[in-house]
Amino acid sequence: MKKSCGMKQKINVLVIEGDEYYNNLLSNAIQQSVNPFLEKGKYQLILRSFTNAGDFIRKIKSGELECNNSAVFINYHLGEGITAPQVIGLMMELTGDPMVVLLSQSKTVREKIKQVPHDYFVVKDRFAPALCSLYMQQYIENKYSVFLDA
Amino acid sequence: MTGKFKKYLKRNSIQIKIGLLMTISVILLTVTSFLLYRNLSSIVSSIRIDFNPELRLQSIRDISMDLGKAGNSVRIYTITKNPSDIKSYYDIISNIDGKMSVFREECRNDSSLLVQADTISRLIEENIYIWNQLLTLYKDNMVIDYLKQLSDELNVAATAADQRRGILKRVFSRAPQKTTDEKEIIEDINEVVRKTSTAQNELLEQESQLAVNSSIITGKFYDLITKMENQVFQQIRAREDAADQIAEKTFRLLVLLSISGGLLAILVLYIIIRYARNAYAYQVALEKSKDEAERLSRTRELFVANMSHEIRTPVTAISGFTEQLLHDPLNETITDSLKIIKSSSDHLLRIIDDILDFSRLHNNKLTLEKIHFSVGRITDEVYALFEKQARNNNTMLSFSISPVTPPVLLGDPFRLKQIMINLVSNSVKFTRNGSVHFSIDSIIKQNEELELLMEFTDTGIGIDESKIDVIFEDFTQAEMSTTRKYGGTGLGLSIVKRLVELHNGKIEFKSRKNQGTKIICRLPYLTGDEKELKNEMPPSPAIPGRLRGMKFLVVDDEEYNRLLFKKVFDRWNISYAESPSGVDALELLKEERYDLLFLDMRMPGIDGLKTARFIRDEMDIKESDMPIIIVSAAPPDDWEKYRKAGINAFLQKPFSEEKLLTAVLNVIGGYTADEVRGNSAGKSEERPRSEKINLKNLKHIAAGDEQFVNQMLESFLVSTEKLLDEMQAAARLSQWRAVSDLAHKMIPPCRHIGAMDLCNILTAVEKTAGNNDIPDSAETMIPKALGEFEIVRNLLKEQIEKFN
Repeated sequence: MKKSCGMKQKINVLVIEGDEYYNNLLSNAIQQSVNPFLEKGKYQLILRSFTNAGDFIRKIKSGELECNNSAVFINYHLGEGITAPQVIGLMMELTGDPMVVLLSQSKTVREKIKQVPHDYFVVKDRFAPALCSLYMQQYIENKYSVFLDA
Repeated sequence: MTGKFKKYLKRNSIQIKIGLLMTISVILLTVTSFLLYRNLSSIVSSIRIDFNPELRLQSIRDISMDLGKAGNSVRIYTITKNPSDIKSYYDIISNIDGKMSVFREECRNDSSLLVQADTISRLIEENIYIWNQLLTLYKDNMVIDYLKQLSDELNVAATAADQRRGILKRVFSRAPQKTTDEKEIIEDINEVVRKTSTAQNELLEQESQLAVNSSIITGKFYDLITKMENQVFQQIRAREDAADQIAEKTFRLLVLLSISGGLLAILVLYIIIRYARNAYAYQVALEKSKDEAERLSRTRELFVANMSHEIRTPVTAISGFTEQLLHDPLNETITDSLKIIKSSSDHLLRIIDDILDFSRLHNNKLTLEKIHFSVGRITDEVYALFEKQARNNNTMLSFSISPVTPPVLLGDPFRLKQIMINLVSNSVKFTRNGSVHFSIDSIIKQNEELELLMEFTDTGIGIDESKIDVIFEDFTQAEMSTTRKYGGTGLGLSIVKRLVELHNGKIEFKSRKNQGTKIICRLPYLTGDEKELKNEMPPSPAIPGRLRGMKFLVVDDEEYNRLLFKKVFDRWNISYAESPSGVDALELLKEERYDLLFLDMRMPGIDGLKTARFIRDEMDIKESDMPIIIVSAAPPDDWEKYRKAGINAFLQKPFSEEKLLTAVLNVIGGYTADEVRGNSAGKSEERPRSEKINLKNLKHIAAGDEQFVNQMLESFLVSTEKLLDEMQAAARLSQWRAVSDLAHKMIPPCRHIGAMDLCNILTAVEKTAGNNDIPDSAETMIPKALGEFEIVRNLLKEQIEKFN
């Protein structure tokens, strides 16, 4: 990402989660985790969320949507027979090296995604939104060397 | 001197320039003000003169008017013959001389006017003379008239007497002499009248002469007035011209000064702008340099911390494993070798500690703690640490504590011990075949304040007095040969000095080459409380029975560190689990309860601090249920921050078994395994209606945004209802795979709002519907899920209404 004087650094976050409730929940958790960084005035959060993975894929392929995500939070089962590895594969072709957080409510998925490039696997239990927040914060701290604890 | 002056000029060039320009401005302003004042005064005075009436002109007009009045008075008198009319004439002529004298005085500077004044005086005298003659004649004329009247009356009387004599002549023929006298009188009178008539003619002549004179005088007056008026007019014109010239001169001056002022202002502005621009550029450069310096400092600090960590980590393993091996029965040679390894690794660690402390002190990152500690115990430890080394040097090491020193102090024992260690270490290192003594004394002040007086005396090599000043400098030893012979980083005394300064204390250094050294430290401390010493538990080599049955979790990315823990815990017969990262540790903690967590501070991914915060804030695992000991190569910069994150203790790497046990006992205290675990086991399966949902997580994420909570609950109700409908439809069509998928989809939101019964039913549906062999179970469970959802829906609606 280019640094330019006066320009805010964009943090592009993508959330793909079929369930609207959980999608909102994740989006809210991510927004809140990024807020302390946004208050520093140097960053801008662009959060896109999709409940329909097919819709997302179509938009990406047609070029309607720019694939420049810093972090991706994606559910393993996306409905319509689409699974996260397919979407992640497509994204890896188009975008650089985003942080990928794979979510599933089934722990057994962990075994299935061993070959899928991802940074974290989160079981969709009651801690999942908080864990996503934690990973998001850690990602920003590492990437931009800005520390909330400093 | 010249060079200094030049430097001064260069350093203060802007101040000098502005000062110079300001001085010029002030001078210019003063000169301008003076010139303006002078010119304006000239103009004002000329105006003032112009406005003053011309006194001479006024005088001459006055005299002219007086003469007119006098003439009129005479004429009126000649007509009326009333003496009161002539009175004003006499008044005027009695004053006219005075006025003429005034006039002459006024004209004394003007010779032409003086000549005119003389002429006027002469004419006035002539006029007065004529008027006086005229008045005399008039008076004579009055006598003549009177005589004429008298003659006429006499004639009339004579005629009447003649008539009466005709009658009486006959009667009384007497008094003929008397008639002859009357006739003579009449004739005399007539003679007088004749003479008077002649005088009257003369009067007329004189009157006409007077008129001529008056006309001449008037003409002269007018000439004089005109001349004077012209003169005054010319003077006024001359003054006007002079005022014009002054005004023009003033205007030119003003224009000149305005231009100069403007140029000066532009110059000043230019200098200020240039200065401001330069200052801004310097500021930017300075800020950049500062940022760069800070970045470098941070990088250096980070480098030192990283290096320290990197070096400490393997040294921890070396020291730890060596210590563990020393517990095993080995032959003497191996034991000796192991002891050398242990001693070397400990020495290496001390050097690392010095470098790390130096870095932290240099960056003002070190803060002093305030805890109650036994000063006797510290001196014992310091003595024990160096007693052997001193003995090897054939040196007697001793210490003393004065009875006035309180046994317990309040302050930072770690740093006090560090000061003692560094100073005693130096003394012992540089003393062969001599003695080293350190003493502790106290000067009790008011309240609980005291000054801790520590003296370190040795009979060692000492240093040259000329080098005393440099020994407290960083990386400095008195002589290069010292480093070669005795080793060391040259940081010891530098650290001591900074630590003493951190205490707001004082340090004195007295030394003589080959005679020894004396160092005196004065540190402010407070008297401590013996009751507060409870945490300072002496380590017990025996493993307390209460630790048996506990389960510890060790989180460290370094495998050999985990192995070291394993070896110690195996010896202690304590069960444990290990995790290479904070993320994995969180997964383990979701599954199982642990009695104690050892958390490495620096780990890839989520660090120890964040992991601890998550455990306390999100997972809600209380400190009493599972204390956390943070493990690191260096003490945390800000312990308060770690404490707030729910971390209970700090264990520095490398740690001895004894230190590990002390740390464990400090946080576990007197609790048994059961007590630590609490009584959370065996929760009832049946949940009352009020516990069918738990919105704690949702509210936590909402961070007080009730509207968000409401929206989420409504969204949950809509989507779950829809998915349940779809699930029913799929079940009716025996599409069990779809039923399983739909149940799977509904589970996370249900879990999130704490609808655990519904979650469990849906999990069962997912499992049984996914298994084609037992779809019937799923079929029976769907109505159960619907019934449970109904309860959840009612509860959520109540919540929504409550919010609304």
